[in-house]
Amino acid sequence: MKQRLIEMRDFSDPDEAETARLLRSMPPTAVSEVVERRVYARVCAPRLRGPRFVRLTVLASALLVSTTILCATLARHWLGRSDDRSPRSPALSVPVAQPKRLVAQREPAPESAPADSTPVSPSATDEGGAAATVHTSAHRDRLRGFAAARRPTLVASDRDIPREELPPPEVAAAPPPPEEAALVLSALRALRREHNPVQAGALLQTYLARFPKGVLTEEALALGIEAAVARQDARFAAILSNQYLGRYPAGRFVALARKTSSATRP
Amino acid sequence: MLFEDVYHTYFRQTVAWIRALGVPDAEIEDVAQDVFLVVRRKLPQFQGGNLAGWLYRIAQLTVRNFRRLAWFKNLFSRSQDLDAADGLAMTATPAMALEKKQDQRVLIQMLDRMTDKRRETLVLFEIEGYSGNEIAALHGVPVKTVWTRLHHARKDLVAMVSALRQQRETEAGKP
Repeated sequence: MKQRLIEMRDFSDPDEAETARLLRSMPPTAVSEVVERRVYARVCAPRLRGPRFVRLTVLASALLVSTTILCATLARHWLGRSDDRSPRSPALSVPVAQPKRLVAQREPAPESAPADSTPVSPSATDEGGAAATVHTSAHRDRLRGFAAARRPTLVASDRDIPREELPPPEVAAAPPPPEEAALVLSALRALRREHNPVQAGALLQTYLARFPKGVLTEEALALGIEAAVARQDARFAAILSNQYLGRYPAGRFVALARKTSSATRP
Repeated sequence: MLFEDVYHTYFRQTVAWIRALGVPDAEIEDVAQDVFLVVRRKLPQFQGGNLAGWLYRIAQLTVRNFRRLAWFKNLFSRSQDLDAADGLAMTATPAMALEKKQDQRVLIQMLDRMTDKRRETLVLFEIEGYSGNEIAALHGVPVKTVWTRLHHARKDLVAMVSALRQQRETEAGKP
């Protein structure tokens, strides 16, 4: 049986004496009844503690949900800032299908100055054949009223169009007056983002009444057709379609106008 | 065998083991709770025999898990130095209390530098008052192994105390 250092009194080595002194400074463990009862109560209490995979699943779900909320908040914030920066141009970043020869068939008249891209209903792709995807950035720039306009940026099949058929840059460069653009953009926003075809139709009618030969008349008519279809006003949609086909027989939204016209024909 | 009986028989010993395994005083209660949660869950699977050794093994594994997470926990909790100062009022004078706390702190630091087996053997024998046979039963080793571990543990501790004393003398001798 070995003797404990803390019980020894006579040390020949001072280091051993110091070691014993240090060991004596540490008392043995004392546990109170209160602690014992408290731990027992906690151990025996029903706990919401399932198997490890359940806890991990709950944790992962919470993490996923919080990350999603954070991303959505950031995206919304970012999109809001983007809209604030360009108040007169709603987001037009979705590639829009266009007929193949859209630029070449454009009317040379000043009131129908070719727009690079405009909102077209998806049905417009039906007749388009190999649809060309047009970047809307040029259109956005034009609507912003940039002084220096650019040619439309054709992404997909611009190689199919002979260069001599493309309009001269100065034709495509005419920016609309801000007032006109604001009206059409408001209508566009009401139709596409707020899903309010009634308000969009009213705005477009205002535009067509005030600027019958405006730069954006073609777009306004096309949007008007779309708004009339959206509010299920077949008669007015047919009127606008016929009006469009009469003014722009080779316009960019002929497909939409023809389809609407044929669909509303009794 | 009822859990309640096991708990009331071994709770105090388990706390002493947990302390010997190197858990700070502030965390002992939580670790003890974790140990007995495992005991409660595993008790039906206990096949008889050395119950104290079985509990000691559970305590060892629980403390090992606790140590793995200790660094993360310490990021959000108070440091041990602050905890160690809590018991200052329990001794006769503040100076004595301070000296005692300082000694405890030094001892804990030295024990932390030892290997697990030596530290456990030393603390159980010297501080908690266990006999060699009891420690041998807990660790599942022969008694001679316990004495060997105790011998080496004492030797390590004395060497550390000697080094500390020399360091203090050197610092005291500097101008």
